[in-house]
Amino acid sequence: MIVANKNEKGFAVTWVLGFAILILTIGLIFFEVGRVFVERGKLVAAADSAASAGATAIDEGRLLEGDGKIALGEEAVERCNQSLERSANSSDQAKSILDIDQSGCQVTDDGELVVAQASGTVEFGVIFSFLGIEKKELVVRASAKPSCSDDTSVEGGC
Amino acid sequence: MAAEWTGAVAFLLIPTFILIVSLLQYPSRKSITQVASAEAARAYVQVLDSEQADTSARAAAADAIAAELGRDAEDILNQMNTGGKIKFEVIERTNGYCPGSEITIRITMPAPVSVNPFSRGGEIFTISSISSTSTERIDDYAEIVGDDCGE
Repeated sequence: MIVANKNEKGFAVTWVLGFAILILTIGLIFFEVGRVFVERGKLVAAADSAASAGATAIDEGRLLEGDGKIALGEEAVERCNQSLERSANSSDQAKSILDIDQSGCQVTDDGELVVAQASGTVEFGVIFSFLGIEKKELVVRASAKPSCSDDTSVEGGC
Repeated sequence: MAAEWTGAVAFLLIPTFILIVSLLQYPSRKSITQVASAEAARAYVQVLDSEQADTSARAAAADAIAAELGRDAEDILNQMNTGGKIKFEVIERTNGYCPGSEITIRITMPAPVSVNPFSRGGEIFTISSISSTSTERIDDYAEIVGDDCGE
């Protein structure tokens, strides 16, 4: 015959411990999700900054002697890539996420737009690994085009 | 029984709750420093006046931080200007305030180890800091006011 044990000592600690572990697990899930957004933010900032840097390289020859259009020169891609590399080497910027081999810049055929692509992979911690999700690949693109300042008046250029 | 409940809540549940709330501060603080440094760098290169660049960048960073934390921008700006917990630094100017010069700005904020979860931005104590930098380039054809070029 089984007699029920009515001693409830330790029940509160067990209950609260279980609840604490639940809070910890939920908190870590939110932390990991938040980390993805932080890392994506770093990529966005890197791509945005790179595209802006690339857009400063105007093709002066075309502007002054060609068809007079404001378009991007060959240096645009170089400046854009330099900016991406700087971000990838700075721990305050995107060193933790930016994969320089998978990232890069290009100028559209009409020379009006520079497009920067920043890529990286977020490795998840133990909570997500337990659920079978080990990493999240992120790809961010930003584009920029050169513009005239208020004082510039190039016919048909802006 | 009551003492057991009280002890369990006091020594297990509340510390766990504070730990998690503190942990969750990291992504948001990092995000704030990123946004603020990007806004500051952009304001710095767009104002095109070497004397106003620093002021303009500080104001842009303070606005960005204040909007995220729900605090007064003036208070944030004061902290930056008086060497408080929130720091603003121009860490690199490749060729002074000139066309084509690259400007890097770092924003540093305290990383709360423990926070008061019932007060926005209410830090109980901090031992570390979180910082982000952003770099922007002054337009090659910018007409700049002031003579800070090459310094």
